[in-house]
Amino acid sequence: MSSFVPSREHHDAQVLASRFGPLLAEAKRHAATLMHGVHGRRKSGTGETFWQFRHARTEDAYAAIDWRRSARSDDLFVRETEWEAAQGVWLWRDGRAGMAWHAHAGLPDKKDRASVLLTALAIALIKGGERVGCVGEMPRPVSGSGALDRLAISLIDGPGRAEDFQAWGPIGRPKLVIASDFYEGPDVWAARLYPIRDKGIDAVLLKIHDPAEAQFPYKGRTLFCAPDDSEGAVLFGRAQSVAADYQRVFAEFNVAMEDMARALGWPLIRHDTAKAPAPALLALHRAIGGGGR
Amino acid sequence: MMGAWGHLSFTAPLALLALALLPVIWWVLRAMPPPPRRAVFPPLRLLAGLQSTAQTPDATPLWLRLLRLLIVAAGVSALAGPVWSPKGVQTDNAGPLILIVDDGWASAPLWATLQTSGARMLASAGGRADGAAVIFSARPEQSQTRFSSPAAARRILRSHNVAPFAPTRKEVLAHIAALVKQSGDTSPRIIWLCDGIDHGGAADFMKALAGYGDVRLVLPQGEQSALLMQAPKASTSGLEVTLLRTPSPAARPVQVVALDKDGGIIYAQEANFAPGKTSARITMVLPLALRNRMVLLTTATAQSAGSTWVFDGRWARPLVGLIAPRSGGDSQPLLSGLFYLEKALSPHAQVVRAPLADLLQRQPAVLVLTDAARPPPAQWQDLVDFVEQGGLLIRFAGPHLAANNDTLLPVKLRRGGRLLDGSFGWDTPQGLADFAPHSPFYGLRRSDNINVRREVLALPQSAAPERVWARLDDGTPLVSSARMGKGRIVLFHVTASPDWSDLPLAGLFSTMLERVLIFAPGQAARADDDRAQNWQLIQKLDAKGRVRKPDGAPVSLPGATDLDKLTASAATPPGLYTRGARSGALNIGAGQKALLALPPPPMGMRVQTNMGAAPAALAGPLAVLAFVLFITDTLLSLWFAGLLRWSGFGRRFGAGLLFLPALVLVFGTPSPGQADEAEAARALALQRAGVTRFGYILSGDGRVDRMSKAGLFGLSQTLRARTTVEPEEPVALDPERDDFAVFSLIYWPILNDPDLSPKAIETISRYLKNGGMLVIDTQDAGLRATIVGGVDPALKAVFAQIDLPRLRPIPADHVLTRSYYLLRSFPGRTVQARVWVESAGRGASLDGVSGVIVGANDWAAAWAVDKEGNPLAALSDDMRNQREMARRFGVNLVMYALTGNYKADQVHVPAILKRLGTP
Repeated sequence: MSSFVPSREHHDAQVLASRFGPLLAEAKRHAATLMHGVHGRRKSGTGETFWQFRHARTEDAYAAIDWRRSARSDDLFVRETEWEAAQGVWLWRDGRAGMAWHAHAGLPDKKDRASVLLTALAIALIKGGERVGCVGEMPRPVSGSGALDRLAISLIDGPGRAEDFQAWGPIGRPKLVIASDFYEGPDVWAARLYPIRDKGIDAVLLKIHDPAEAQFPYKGRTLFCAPDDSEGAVLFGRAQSVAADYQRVFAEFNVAMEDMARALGWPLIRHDTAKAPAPALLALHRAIGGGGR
Repeated sequence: MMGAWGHLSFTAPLALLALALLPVIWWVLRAMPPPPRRAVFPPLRLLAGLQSTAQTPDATPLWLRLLRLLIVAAGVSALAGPVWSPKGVQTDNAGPLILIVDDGWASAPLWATLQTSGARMLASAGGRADGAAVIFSARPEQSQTRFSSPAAARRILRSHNVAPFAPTRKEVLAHIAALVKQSGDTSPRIIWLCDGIDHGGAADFMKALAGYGDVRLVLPQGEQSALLMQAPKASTSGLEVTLLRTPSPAARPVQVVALDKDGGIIYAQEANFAPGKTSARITMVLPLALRNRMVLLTTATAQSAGSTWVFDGRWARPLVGLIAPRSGGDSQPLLSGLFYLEKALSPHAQVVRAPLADLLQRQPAVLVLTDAARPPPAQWQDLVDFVEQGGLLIRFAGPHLAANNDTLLPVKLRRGGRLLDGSFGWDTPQGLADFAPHSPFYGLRRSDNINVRREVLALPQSAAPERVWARLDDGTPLVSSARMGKGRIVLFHVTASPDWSDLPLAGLFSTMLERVLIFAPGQAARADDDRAQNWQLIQKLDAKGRVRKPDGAPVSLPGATDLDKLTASAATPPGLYTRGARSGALNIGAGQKALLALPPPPMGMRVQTNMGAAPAALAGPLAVLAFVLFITDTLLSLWFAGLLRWSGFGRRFGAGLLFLPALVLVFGTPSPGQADEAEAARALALQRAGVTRFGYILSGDGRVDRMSKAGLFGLSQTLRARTTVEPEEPVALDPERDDFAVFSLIYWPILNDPDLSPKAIETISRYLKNGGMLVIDTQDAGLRATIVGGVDPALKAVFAQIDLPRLRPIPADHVLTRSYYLLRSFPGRTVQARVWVESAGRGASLDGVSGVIVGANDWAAAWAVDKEGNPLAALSDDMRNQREMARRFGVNLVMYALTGNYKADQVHVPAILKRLGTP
């Protein structure tokens, strides 16, 4: 009697909030460290912020010459502003059943880790003035911190269907970040990614995996089944005996994925959910940040 | 056929053949591995390529196979009914078992023990169709006359009741002889479950019994042995009660309780058997008023028909007749002696004031004759007859007596009397002297300021010291007494009015009269004894020492029987009898001088004192073992299948498993001492006292108790939502151990006759007396009451035990109808049943608030909600918004419990408004 039991709807909302809140907070924390380490675009372009004076070259128009600076010496200088044009970054996080899985308590789901990484990236990008979108959830990329919540919800709770790529027709040549475990195999993914590459879009692949998927720590008589029961189960009398073989197969799979990425010309970033997310986040940011410095 | 194996025997040994299947099970288990553990694995596609790897299935682990074999073995052994017989119980003799059970009154305190140990012994007799027979010593006619299966014998023993009289063991011998003849060649084993008391002729019986060879005698332990109460004696100081026991070296305290006719405890006192002593005597000093209410004297422990004394009419409040003067109306009623007598006597006796002729028709035990009320000579002889036939006559002196002597006097009187403060005398008014030891007034505090100014003087030669009960300072008698015929005359040498002395004004006067009344005869001693009528049993005493309405055929005894000399038997059951207007009690302890222990057993008879260590059936523990192992196996299987992970749930469950032995330890060890319990109870009460809570009394029926809890929970929720009363979780209460004092309202579902111990009755009565509110609900819409006609039988049983005030149907303007909501009916799950409350005028202490509310509408069900606020029970739907109305009633009930008659003023609202006047 001293504590009244909340209604069922309230309960569900609380569960949602309890998942969303910590993930968003974690994403913000990572975004903060990211922004702390990286400043500005460090690239000349059409912006308002002064970037640098450089010696005028022959192809520069006269109008581009900064006469005030040039008057102070014998050379001609051009005033350059920092590149600020928002180019648009699209994010997509795989939402297959296999992503919402972890082998040991204490480790996050692959899906959650991917959500955190992408959300942190989105926060950092939006703070940097970029326009960020979520494939399949938004018609066009958004900008400004007001859009941040909507973006975060899309990234954390969005369904993440692979079919979304077919209907996805971005304007211009935005960057794309794809986070997945890619267990559908290089062939499936190649068929999915080549049309995107052909549109002239640059992408970064974030391949995320659980440590158990790399090490195969199972023992004894074990029946392995797919997370969504879509595929048949596999039974091993002694799981430990196949561990070495599995590790070999897993390594081959990684090589195949890297080959595919290389063929596409896109970077592939590998992330283990047991590891800290910061390095992967920094690598992601660098990869889409256009190289920086 | 009964398999025996040292101390271990089996009731169904054939079941053991199933153990032969164990190797087969072993083989099957080997072939059938446990189900695999399931693991979800997203990169399943990668694994698919590895399936060519060898699939050698794990064989069932050895320990798991052993575990399962153990389960089967334990189960099979349990089915075989193993019985573990400690030393000596199991005999080599395979003959049939004759079980003699003492079922007399002395077995009542240990009947449950007797029954279980008897049942165990029968269980060890195997499963033969003619394996056992039970013989009862007090009711031999209910014994088995031929051997039956031990199971049938066990049923007979289980359903047998103790008899409220002593066993007649002689008759048992004939039964045994008949049975022995039947058993033919094999000599039977005989076990005698004895009550440990020689009810007469035990030595002969044992000698005869020992002749049958294999005889074992099982005696009760000291603490269980029965007690016998001798006839209480009324003495000047109180009631002398003597309890007897069989010789025992241990001290034994026994609580003696006096009960009134409603079963309420009116007095309790502890009697102590000193070590080695066989009797304990106490003197119960209790006011006559209390003594008159007493109908039963019994012991709180080891209660039996023998330790109980039923009081009959002889012990009742005496009827005292004040003889009124013939002249009729008193001119000065407040100065008349009769006025003082009436005031002084009424606390101790039933007082009637009438002319002598009318009084004699009422057969009073005592007549009081004042000086002014001297009967005419024609009636004088009636008075003499009254005394000669056993009546007590109390006389007071006066001018008439001083002038004329008569015959009805304990001492001869000097004519004229004595004036102590006359103007012409040298004498001064005299005070009272100390009472002599032989006087019934001995021990009373005499008061110094009582002066006697005038008295009638006894002739010294007639006033023998033993006739004088009280004297003045100068030694002259003030109160004298003598026997006359069967009766007694007591003379106060002063007037009953304060004319001659201050005695009638003193409190001592009333106390002295109370002491005198002890000599009042019972009805038995008086005339008008219609011996032609039969004694009819109106209340029987059962073996457990409780008084019940007699059932079965009415019992009547010849009117000429002297009940005091009669021994209780099947034909003459103990209890209360009436013969016309007279009542007489037949008690077990009447005329008993001692409680004799069983004589030492003859040679060849084995004796066992400990009834508890009879053969132990192992089937139960084995079945439990098999079950626990099975649960373990199931858990292990789940774990193998990966359904039970060590993480999360598994860890918690595992911790629970670890606690299991600890739990066993906790329940296995004896409970902490009573001091700790009392301490804990006090702490709990203090903790509970901090907040408003409702309690419900446990009914023992799990469903009802859950509903009570949910009902009070629902009511508490309603109160929280609608009022400022914010009760905490309801609490289950057991009147045996809980303190009720801190609960403002207690809900009590009574579905069947609750078995209340004296302690529980005490708790409930005290709760009511201290202003608690008890809501009694029979939850049957008044059905049982309608069927029986009158009061619900369960309630009747409760009311008989608890001293409840008089109840009446709730009036339309009762405070309950307006204490919060305005209500017209009091619905629960049903609607129609009547609600009863205390009838008003119970005294100012409770301010007219009813402490008991009795209904049958199953209110708890209507209030009951689950944790999420959903109602739990369907209602009869006899009225609109029935649940809401039931909740409103609940709110009103709580408000009534908390605020009492605060809202009673509203009853007068119309009148108050009218008085205020409309401007």
